Amino acid sequence: MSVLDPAATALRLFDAERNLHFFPIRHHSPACALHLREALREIRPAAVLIEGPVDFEPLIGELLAPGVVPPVAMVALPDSEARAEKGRGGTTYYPICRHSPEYVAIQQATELGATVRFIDLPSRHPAMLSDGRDRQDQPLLPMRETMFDRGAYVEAMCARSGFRDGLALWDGLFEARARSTDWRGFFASVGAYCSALRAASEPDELQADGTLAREAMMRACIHDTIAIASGPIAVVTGGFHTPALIDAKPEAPRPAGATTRSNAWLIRYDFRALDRLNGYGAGLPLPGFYERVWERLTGTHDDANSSLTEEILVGFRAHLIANEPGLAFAFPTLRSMVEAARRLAELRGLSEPGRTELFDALRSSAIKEEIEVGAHPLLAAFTTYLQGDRLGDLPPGSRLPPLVERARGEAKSLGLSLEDAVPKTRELDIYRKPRHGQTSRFLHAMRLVAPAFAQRNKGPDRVHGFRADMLMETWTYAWSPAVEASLIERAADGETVRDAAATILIRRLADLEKDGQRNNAEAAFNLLSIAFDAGIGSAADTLVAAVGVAVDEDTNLLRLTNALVIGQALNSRAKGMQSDTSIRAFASLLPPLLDRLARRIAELLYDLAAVNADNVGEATGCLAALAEAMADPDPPFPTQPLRDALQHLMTVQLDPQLTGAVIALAALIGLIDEAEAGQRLSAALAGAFERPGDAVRTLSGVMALAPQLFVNDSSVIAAIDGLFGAVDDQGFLALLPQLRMAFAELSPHETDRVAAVVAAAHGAGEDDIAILQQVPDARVLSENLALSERLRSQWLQDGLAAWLEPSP
Amino acid sequence: MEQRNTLQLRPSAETRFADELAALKAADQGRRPPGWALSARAARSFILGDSKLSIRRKFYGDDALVERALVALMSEQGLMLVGEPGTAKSMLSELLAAAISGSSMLVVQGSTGVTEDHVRYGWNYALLIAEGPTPRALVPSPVMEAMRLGRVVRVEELTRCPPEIQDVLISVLSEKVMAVPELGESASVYAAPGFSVIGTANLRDRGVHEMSSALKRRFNFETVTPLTDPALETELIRQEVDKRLGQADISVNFPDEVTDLLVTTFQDLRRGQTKDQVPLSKPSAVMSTAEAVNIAHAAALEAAFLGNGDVGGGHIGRQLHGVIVKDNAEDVKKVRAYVDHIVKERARRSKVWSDFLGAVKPMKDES
Repeated sequence: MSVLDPAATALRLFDAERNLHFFPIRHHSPACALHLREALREIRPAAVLIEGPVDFEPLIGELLAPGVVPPVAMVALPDSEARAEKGRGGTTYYPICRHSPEYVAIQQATELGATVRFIDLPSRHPAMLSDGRDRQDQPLLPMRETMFDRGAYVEAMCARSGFRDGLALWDGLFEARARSTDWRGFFASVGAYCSALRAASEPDELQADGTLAREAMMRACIHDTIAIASGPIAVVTGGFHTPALIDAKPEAPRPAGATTRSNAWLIRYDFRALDRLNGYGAGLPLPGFYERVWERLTGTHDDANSSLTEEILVGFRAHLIANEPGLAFAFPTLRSMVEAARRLAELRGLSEPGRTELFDALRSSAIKEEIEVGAHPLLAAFTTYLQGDRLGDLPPGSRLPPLVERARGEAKSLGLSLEDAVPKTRELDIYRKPRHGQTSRFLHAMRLVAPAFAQRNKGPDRVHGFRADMLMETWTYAWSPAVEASLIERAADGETVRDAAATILIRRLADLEKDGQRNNAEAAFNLLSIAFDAGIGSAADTLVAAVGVAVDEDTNLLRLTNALVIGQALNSRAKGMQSDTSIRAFASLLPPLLDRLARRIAELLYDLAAVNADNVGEATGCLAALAEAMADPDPPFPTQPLRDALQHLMTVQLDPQLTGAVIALAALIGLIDEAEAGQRLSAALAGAFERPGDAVRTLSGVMALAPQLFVNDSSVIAAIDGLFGAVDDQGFLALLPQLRMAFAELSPHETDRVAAVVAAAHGAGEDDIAILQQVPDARVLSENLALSERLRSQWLQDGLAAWLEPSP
Repeated sequence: MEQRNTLQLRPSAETRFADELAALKAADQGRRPPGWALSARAARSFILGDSKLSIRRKFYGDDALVERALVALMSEQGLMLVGEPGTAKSMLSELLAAAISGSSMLVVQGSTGVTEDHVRYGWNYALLIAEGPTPRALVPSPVMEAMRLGRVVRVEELTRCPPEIQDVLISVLSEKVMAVPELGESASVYAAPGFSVIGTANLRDRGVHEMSSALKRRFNFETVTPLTDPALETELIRQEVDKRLGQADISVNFPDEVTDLLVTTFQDLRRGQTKDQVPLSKPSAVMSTAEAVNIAHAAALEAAFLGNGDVGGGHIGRQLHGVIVKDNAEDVKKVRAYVDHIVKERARRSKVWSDFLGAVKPMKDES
């Protein structure tokens, strides 16, 4: 591509002969929007062509419907096969705010009775999907314009004119000219600037990121319109494309696939999400700031008594006083900030302070300390303030996928506030208040369908047994465009939140299978538990059937026992909530499932006899989980097969640690009484092994399940004490690590008890125990003991035995 | 203060750049704030350079900072430059004073020994005894002089001054008047337009006098940070080293690769991250551009007097030693990790880096 002469481009923008007018714009630029409005009013076009995906055209009517309040966004969802395919996922966003030139053009054109056409490629066209995203889940942005922010030309311009970055440069060159009355001059400058940007960019890159294909489409559309239009034509595109469009060759063919339809919707949007998108280079950032600028420019908010600078800084101070008083600054500071902003604008040759000057004024006047790495809470708060928190709206009855409307409806009927995007907190008494229970289930279901909507901060965690007895749940939730977008993405999964959630759960179950986890009973039970929380009774049959398969095929005892713990907890909850219809399905389906699970576990328990030393820890974990599940006084599963298996295990030779664990479990479930347990333990501890430490490992097994057995039975303590007595000091040092492991299971109180029993057995008083409470690090202790022993033997050798006698 | 023609080790900014100041003054079209020698825009050009008037850039880094500083000095606020040592705070304050007042000579060198005489006024005791308190016997402080003449006074290392001295500045900055009760009830020095105070402080150093919030309120704060742009830092180091070597009439071959190595090492260690986003632990030693200049200068001297005049990675490596190992054993460990993981890797591909590695290695073995 030849280097375009900026001056010539400027002249060629407005072609009176062809009656064709090009308007190079930057997205979300109030200055472009205002000049564009003036220009359209003057030239009264018959057709307005806008750079927007052609498949979004049907949404233009919806966009203009009364009751639509920007920010809104046109979105296109990947279809189900594209979602799975690499490089084609991601949702396309075309955000629109009140000061978007495109929106202003659409409004103005409609007012003038002109036709409005979108002339970009369809949103799901391959050329639109190759915009150089770093990650797959990044949004797709047809209006990406990173070339305004970086590149050799922008850098050179900044260096020459003293602006710090591309954004400040744009503000200084163009936003500052919003009030000029010469729209031709304005667009000529924007055009010249963009031509230079274009000339400095790499043709290869334009080919690779789809720009050239898109421009071919735009040229073709312009050409078609010229053929049929009966009046002036206005072409509104990103300024970067304009140079490539001016020479619309008659033969320009449309690229293949230019008529692809897509799954496009108009959704509510918000400034925060918009600003995040702008982080990917989709137009000017800080929509809250530029909207204020727009209000000033269009006179919808013209306060003669104060300037924009004052309005913003005064507003920011009030916002801080109300929300973050710790950061608020004094009134004199405010005054000096306004003054500083004005002086900076003057120094930089601007007619009035812009975004950069406001930040500079704040930084210089209000922050009385060192700013480390350029970040300061006050600057961050100002950014958030200028970002704005406006939430767009659509009129009731807008064409939205039913899932979105149902979700909103249900949320509202449960008393959740959806007015703005500010996170709100809700406490739910899930067992005692039926409505709270319903709300909890709705929120759990929403967690599956639109994870951004709600987050549970506190509540019973049945899966991990953590705080399982909590009665209250605390949630934070906020209705944001991201939620709406997720719902739209899930629209095909069902008409209600619960249906969609069921579909998602069943899909996850299928995913398990795909990942080779078909036989993972624990994962399957986790899904079941989620379904339970979300009250998805409808999916219960399918889920329970799939879980049953997993149970039958799983050969991992630990997963199965963990599943039993989850299932047992679910069952006891289901029994407590019989009145709820969505839960009732679970209450009837769970017991048969748990029956199967328990029998399966019993079968596998026999294999513990053959467990090798590496897996003893895991096997002990199984027995501990089993102990937890069987602690239920009225277990929802048959215990006899399990008891039989345990009985068997007690008769065979096991790893010492497992022996301990089996004895403990048997004692816990009443298979043997405590006295017998004590006997068996003492016997096991006295066992002769080639390594003395192995006997102690029996103790670890007990401690993992039932430390109370050991603590309460002084015969066991006596057995251990005997064990210590039998080894010499070297042997004791060797035992120490194992002992430490075993005793780590005890609570401090229990340790004290054991100490007292042992001390008493050796005729020591409580004072002697006290000394030992400050034991140094175990390794230091063992090293020192070893050193002491070496010294002793050395002295004995040297005939210094007398030194070893306690001094009189 | 007339010492323009005597030989000085380091002449003041207005002496060194007298030509540039004159050129700017001649071309200055902008409105001058009351009491200023130049318009704000010309002052900006003086510090940040202006190719049209062939004004050299003197301060590298944040241009917006210079603009904010000028605006602060136009207002009733003082200007407080804070930041790590070696970030050119004092140089910036000198340049600002030279641009705004045409003189950077009104300075209070902050230290614990500063007394009220240094910020208010003292007396010529012979005259005081002979004539009593008369204007002739009064010895004004730089602050009083600045008020009288409508100039900028610089207070270096403000946080090292005792609190009572800092308190004097509070009233000077807010009332803009200094009473001299010894000369009579109504004897006062009023600040002429153009008077302002530039303070510099290193807020990181422990054991200094914390500024009161009343004093902080009267200053606009600006944080001067180390350069983040490697290209700028390279340019600055080259310039400075050339200047120093030129003054001493020494010429060496200082290849770009070696400057790159120095800048890269400094930027890596300063940011705690390499260009390729490899994280590393950041030493606490001050790694300012000024230190980098010192290293480059010392390396060049070593190459000139002890070598064949070619500066290599080894020279840099030996000098780096002194910067890192000031007194912190932790830093040595951090740099050792940097050398072991990152320098070693680079040394495989580059001669300069492998020379550098050879020179820094002994340092790790020492500890």
